[in-house]
Amino acid sequence: MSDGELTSGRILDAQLHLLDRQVLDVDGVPVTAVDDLELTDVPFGVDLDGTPGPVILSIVSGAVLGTRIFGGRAPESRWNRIPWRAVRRVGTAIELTEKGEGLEATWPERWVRDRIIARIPGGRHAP
Amino acid sequence: MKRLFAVALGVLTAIGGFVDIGDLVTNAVVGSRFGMSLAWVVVVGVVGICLFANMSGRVAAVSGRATFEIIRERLGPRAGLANLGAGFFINLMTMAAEIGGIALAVQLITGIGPMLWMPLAAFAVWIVVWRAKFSQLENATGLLGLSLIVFAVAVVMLGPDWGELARQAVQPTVPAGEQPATYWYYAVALFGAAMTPYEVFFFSSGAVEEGWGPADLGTARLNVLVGFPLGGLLSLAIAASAAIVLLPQAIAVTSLSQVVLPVVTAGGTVAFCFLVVGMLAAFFGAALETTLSSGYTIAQYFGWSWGKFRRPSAAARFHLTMIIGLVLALGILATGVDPIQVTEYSVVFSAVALPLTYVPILIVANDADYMGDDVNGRAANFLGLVYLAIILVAALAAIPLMIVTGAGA
Amino acid sequence: MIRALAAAALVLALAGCTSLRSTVVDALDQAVSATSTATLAVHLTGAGRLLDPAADTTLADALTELEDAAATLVDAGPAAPGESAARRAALAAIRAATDAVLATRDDLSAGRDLAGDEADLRAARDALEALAAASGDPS
Repeated sequence: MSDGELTSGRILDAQLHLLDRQVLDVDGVPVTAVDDLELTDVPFGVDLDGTPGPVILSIVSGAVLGTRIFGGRAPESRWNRIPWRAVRRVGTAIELTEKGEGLEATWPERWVRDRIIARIPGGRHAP
Repeated sequence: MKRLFAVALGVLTAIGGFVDIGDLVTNAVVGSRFGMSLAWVVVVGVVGICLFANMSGRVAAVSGRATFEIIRERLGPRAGLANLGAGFFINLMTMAAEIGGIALAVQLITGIGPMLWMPLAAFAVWIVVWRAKFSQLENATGLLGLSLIVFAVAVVMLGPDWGELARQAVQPTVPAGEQPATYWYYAVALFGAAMTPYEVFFFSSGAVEEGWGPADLGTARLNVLVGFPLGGLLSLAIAASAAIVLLPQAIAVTSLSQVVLPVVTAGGTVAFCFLVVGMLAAFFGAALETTLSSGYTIAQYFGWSWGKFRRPSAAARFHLTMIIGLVLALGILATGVDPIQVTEYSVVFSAVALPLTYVPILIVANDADYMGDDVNGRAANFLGLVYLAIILVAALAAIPLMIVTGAGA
Repeated sequence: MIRALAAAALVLALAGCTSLRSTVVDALDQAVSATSTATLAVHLTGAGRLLDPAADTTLADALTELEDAAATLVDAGPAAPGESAARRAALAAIRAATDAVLATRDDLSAGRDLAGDEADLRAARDALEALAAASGDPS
């Protein structure tokens, strides 16, 4: 989150308020859960005094969940990112400013929909 | 008037939806072997499910978050995944039991073995999940399930010695010929049957599905607090019917056909027809609920789009999960395992897994971040802690009792 | 950890230590339950209360139970001296009950009168109960 938000007085604990929380798109449709967060790098091997704190770049989902549970590191090509600037509000869920349809994080959903569910008769009709 | 109708409908469906194959079989087994001496467990279980469903419904209505989203958030991904695995597995067993139960009930009217009916039943469940509206399926199965009241009618028609039944219930003793360990094993099973976790997944997800807000809580609470105790009375009637007819003849229930006999003894063919309709509706309703729960739990853990109120293509992985769940449940049944035995194990494992869902809900119900001013009050927390103790004892005792008694043999 | 394993082993050992005596009684109890069920079903069918498909299902379930009871005895391993007679008697009674249920099922599907079958079933049941009582009080 940006410095501006920090100074505005709301302190969020990444572990408590962000990780594993539900992400909803602009219409309230579930997109993913926050499997991990991508932060800006902290310079390595220099005195940290005076360097700016790390900032959240994106919400990550997909294979990183497995590596968070079982250890290891997923290749970056398999990270599904949602850029942090798309976040509108952090409440009991994290709300986005965009539709989920266009996000990288929803490709498995689109794949299952287009390859399987939409092909079964009635799959596209409201119940 | 319309509101009154809605409340009445809610209460009636809560009664009809309370009994599933777990309650039916466990109560009949217990009645035929222990008389009414385990009736107190049904009372403890009904109070517990009222408390638990009420709490999870309140959390869902106020925060808009269903049970498994909360479980992952509070327990983290690792413990959440273990929890999901246990919850999904037990739910799958219950699904298999309900689908098997439908097949056994159809066998009672057709005389044709259950294997033929299992795939048909699973397909019917899928079609309804795929095409029907949430409220329609809940109301239809709940109302038809009310024909199980025939058990209560049968008990009255049998003209039992009420004093003796009451004495067994009020001064419980382990009957001669049964071990104390077996008595306690069935106490745990009965508790698990009354408090089946899938009802909680289903209840909290249903609250989100139907878009409950805090304003709807009153109605929901009424449905639960009136409907479930009446459902519990129905459970007691099942046990009583078995205690009156089967216990004196030394018949220990091991199959669905034996559950039917007391009702037929009392009311003949007409009662039998009501009973079969009620069983089919109750099992089918529970099969729908467990199938939906299999989708709910997994979709909520991973944060996928879910819900019956969406088109299947707008909740694709949710629907795919349910299809896979149904296929797995059919796979369990295809091994030729007796659905009644699956039922008996499923209620005991439900008791084992109960703390896994109960504890996170209890924690979140006290979390002002989620609940604002609607956090648990003192009374709710006191009861909540009492039940936490009961649930933990039942969960820890279940497996040792199962081993010592040879699963209640 | 070791203590937990030891406790588990003890529990398993206790569970495994069921004597043949109680195996015989358990099998007889199971057979009594199945035969009683069949008797009740036939009685209700004779009174015009139970429909044929339900009666047939009940008899089929009773047969499964009887098979299971017999299998328990057959699989119990070699009997201690003095117990083999009790086991043979129990097996014979269970087989007689099985025959009675089988005959009933045939008569039911052929639409024959079931009064005789009901009497046979009652006799088989009484024999099983007498044996169970003689084999000692149910544990």
